[in-house]
Amino acid sequence: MSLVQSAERAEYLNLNTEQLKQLHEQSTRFLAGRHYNLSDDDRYALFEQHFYLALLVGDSREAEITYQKLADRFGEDTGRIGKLKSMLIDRQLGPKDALMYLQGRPESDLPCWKARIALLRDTGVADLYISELVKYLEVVPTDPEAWSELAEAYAACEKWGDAISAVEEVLLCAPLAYNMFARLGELYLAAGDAGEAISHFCRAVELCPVYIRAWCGILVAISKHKKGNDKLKAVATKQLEKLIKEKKGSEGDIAAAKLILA
Amino acid sequence: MDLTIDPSLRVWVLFPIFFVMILVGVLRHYATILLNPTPKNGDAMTIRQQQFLMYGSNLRLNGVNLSHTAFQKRQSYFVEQFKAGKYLADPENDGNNNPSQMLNDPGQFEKVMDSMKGQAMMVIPQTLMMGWVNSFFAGFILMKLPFPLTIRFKAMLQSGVNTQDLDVRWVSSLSWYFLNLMGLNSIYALILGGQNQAGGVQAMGAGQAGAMQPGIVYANVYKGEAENLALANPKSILVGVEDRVIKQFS
Repeated sequence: MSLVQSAERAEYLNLNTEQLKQLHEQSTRFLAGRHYNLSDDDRYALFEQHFYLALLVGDSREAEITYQKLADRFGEDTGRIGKLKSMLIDRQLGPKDALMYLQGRPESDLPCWKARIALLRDTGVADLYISELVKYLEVVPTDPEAWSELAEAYAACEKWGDAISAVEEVLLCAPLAYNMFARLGELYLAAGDAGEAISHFCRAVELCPVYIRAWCGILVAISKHKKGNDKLKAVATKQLEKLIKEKKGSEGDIAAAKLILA
Repeated sequence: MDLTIDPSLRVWVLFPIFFVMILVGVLRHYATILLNPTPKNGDAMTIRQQQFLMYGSNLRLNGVNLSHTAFQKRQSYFVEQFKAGKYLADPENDGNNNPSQMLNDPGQFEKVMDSMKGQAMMVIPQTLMMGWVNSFFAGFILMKLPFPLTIRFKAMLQSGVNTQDLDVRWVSSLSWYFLNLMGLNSIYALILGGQNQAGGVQAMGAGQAGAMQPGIVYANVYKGEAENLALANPKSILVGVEDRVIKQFS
């Protein structure tokens, strides 16, 4: 995996501890050397990635050094740098100080605004968190991350209708997000509308045929539906059995599928 | 007719012009980086104005993902809001931002200044350099190319020297300056890396997100979007999806 590629796709967010350490080491070694043939964009993307990696492996001193390099180049006024700084403060002094820092940034600084709301999730009350998210989305209605956070926040207080609307907004920004279709199915299931749930799970497997979670969802939804749908049930069962046999999916998913089939 | 060139011309004119050109290029690169404006965040209202336009087109294009009722709910709401101009950044001054008034607005003025700085970084060193070459080395013949050329190259290689029958292979000082100006890019790339600003040509332009372009009346843009949105009538993708899945997997 090339370093630039992993920075572009933010792959470091999906790695396990071992892989993280490896990538961090690779990044340290590379950045210590001379890298003349990199373009500026790539070089600073690598520094940014190195910052996150250092935070993830718990080396806040190195993160600070890397942050300083970025801040020297771009100044502290830009939102992206401000976000990094808040993460650094969060690690070194705690979330309260990070919140204080972020509150001092101007409101038009979107990345910092978003980081502030993210901090509220862990420290604040659910109502405040939701109202801040809504305020943010009134300005930036095309941010799928924020919409899905809002959906989860509503779901956590069992406001299914609102959660469903929020996930629908995610689908407006990211039309092929099969996991979001499946999530919508789950929310409909929780709200007690098994019919809608079935069609959303179906759309999810139409987009991603190996998505075990959605196949399971179809089976569960059919069992709760009044009318039932034997044909679809047979198809879903067959597909799940096939996926289990071919071991396509994580161990947890496969175990869950076995449980549902049993 | 053959000319003999004083070898000290090479040491005191040809190489100095070459090195000074390289140095000026390197200086220009770093000066451009220093003068580069830090990207500014537009104010929240301007961002919102653009975001909701994007949202409108998202809704139109990806509305197929929603169920019919969910789409209609959003459609009727946003058509109303767009028509009423709820998301305009500055409803009173919308469309009044013509170039002459732009300079009264400090934000716009700064943007104009930034692009001026970029242009100044290109124009000033070139004027100075050309003045230097012209006043110190006017009319100098600096070198002879080792290959013959057609007469058409005369204008390119002998600017500043008004002799009609001089062989095209002789290169004048001013032309040497121009050749350096055009041809040093690969040397800059060697010294400063691929994306350098030493050439000073690509310094301008690059409008930033959230910047207001003059002359756009956003109220009208929103009215147009409202009309498009009102006409949209997507067929929900969720209709008949069960049958499609059964057909696909059995």
